[in-house]
Amino acid sequence: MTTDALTPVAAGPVRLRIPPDPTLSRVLRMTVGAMASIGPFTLDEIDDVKIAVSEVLIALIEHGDQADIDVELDLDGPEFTIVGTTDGRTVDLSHPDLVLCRTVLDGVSDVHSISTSSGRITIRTTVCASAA
Amino acid sequence: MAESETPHFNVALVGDAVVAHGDIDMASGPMLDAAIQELEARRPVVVDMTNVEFVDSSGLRSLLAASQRARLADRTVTLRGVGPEVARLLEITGTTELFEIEQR
Repeated sequence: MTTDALTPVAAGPVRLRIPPDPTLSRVLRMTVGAMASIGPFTLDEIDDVKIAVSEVLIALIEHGDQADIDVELDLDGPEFTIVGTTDGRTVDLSHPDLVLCRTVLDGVSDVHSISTSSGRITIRTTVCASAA
Repeated sequence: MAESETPHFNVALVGDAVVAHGDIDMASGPMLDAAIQELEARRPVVVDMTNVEFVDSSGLRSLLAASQRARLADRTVTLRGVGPEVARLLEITGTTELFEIEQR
């Protein structure tokens, strides 16, 4: 079997629910790395996806209510979207740690947002492959 | 100092440097922090990053805190063996100038 390089690649969404445990950041990085590697991402862009998911987890652990974290990973053609949510009513976007986290997301992703609604914090970020 | 480690990270004082192996993230950052603080009490801090290929913002915070303490003591923190992944994070965050960088 051969794979047509022009065929858009899709994988997911993969949904994970994890406890707010920093050691699981590596699990998420390995998962997104494996998913991104089947898309049109360069090695540097795969690294960007790994950093992005790590930043999402950091922010949700540090600014959420220590509840389980839901992570949805979706590879749709040249776009890799990560959506993380957890319990939390407010987020202080000016907190220095979160400012640094958002600065990193600015650098590695094409778009990202942090929002709160109905007692949940949601962080969404998308990394786009340059080759697409 | 006893060597500190997790299955995916370890840090030890070797010669004049804190030598880190693995990913510096939210889980391993506190170990790096402790090692740096032990070294900085005695001498300028050198962190050997030769075997580090991943740093996120929580790991970077440990390095930035060390840099801030060093500047208060009129010193600098040297990052030795910096690879492209770490260099990129420093560049993204505009923090390259806060360290003495020795490229890998």
